[in-house]
Amino acid sequence: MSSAIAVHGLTKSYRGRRVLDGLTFEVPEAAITLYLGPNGAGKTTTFRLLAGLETPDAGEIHILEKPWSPRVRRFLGVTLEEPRFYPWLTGRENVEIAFRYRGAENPAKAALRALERVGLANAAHRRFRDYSLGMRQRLYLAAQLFPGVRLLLLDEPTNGLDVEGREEVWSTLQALTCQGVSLFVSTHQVLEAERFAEYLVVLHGGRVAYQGPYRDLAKRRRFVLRVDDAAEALATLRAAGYEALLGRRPGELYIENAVGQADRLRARLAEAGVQVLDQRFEDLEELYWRIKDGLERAA
Amino acid sequence: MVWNELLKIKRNPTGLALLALGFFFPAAVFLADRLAGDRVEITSTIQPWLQAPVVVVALLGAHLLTLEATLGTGKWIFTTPVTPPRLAAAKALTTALFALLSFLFAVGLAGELPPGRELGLGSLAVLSSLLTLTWLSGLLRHFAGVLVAGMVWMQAAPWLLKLLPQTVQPWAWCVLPGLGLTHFEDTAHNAARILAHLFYLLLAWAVWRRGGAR
Repeated sequence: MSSAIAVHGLTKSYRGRRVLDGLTFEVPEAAITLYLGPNGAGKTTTFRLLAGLETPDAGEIHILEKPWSPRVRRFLGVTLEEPRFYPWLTGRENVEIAFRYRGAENPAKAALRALERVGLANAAHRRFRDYSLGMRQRLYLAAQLFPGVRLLLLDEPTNGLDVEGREEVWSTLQALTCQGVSLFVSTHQVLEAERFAEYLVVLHGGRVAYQGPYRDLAKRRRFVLRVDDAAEALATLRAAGYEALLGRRPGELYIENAVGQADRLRARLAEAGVQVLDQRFEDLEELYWRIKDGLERAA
Repeated sequence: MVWNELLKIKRNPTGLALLALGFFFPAAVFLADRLAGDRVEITSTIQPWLQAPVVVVALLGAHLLTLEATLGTGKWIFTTPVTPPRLAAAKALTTALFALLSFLFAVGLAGELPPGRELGLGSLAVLSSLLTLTWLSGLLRHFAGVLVAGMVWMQAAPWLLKLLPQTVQPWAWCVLPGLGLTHFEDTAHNAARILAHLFYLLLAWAVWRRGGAR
């Protein structure tokens, strides 16, 4: 696997407080990698270090297989806050300004090409102030898609967007990976990101708690049942040899290794007089909590 | 870089209004005087051909130099190879360009060029104002703040200067920033004046390098 980002032993402290503690992970090329972690876990610090806005106390960063230096910035696009542009200028003009700062040979043409890549070609000549929130976020992406950029670092790209806006952004990100762009995305919107995630890096306490392909983690998903009598259901399933435990929400049970056994489980519970109200597999948010809880227990 | 600043003025309602105000300021003073009638006389302490560039520098310069602090492209600029001092220099250069155009416009309206010495002193005064405005904007990062601070300083400084011993006053007058146009007529303290302006240049660079485009 060639890596878009490789980080080894990254450490960063602020006023004696260690935010990143020997962070080590790799991110594959041309994929959407989700960077998950609670607030204050060090996600934004990681982004700032990767973007070269700050220097680490220790550790190494490789971007697209090259050791970090100011030269790697030409392959990098970064969004670290909400999009801000000149409202009276068109989308194309705003991107053109960004590209001219980066030294594009033909900034107007490059801007138009970038707008095409994020699906905004039709709105290129509309003023920024007339853009919807989703379009603004896509324009922000376009402004980062300078010719030659192969890696985007996106901090909360769907923050504050409505359902439509979020869908627009995620679909655009997915299309960008098809064009060979690697995406390293931090988000709190774990459930919406689940459909698009190909690789995961989970941060906890300044260290990596999990990293790997999403499909590997998905295999570890537990079966979740919501029942009318959780205690009775738990006893019934355990007596039948299932690894079951109470879930986070009232009436929910987690059952390990239950793939393909939904009908059998329901039948067992029906025999015991327990009614199944809902059934599903764990979502990414629950997997995330499991990793986090496991780490806290271990600590 | 200058092209980007020009683009930022395009269709920019505030920028265009300030620019128009600068270009038509001499005409506005003239019209106000005519409309005021015989009992009131409205005049400017500076010549009409100098009014336009001075107003352009004061208004458009302050607007451009504080544009990113209010609208912001913050981290976006951080991640491009543009250093804040270069950005500020482009803005100052763009302002100077419009100041020149407004001067030509005013001269065109008046129909004659000012005498060479006056032109030279006026140009120096405009450049001095631009330099002062560049570091002041870098410090305050707020359009209205820059205008208010500039106005207050220009009104208060002459009074404060009078409190100094008479022998010190001419020196203080030529080294303090933004004290209007007349102090360039005093050529006896040129060395101090040049040194003071070199210091302002350094100050502008330092202020923008430190504060930068946030």
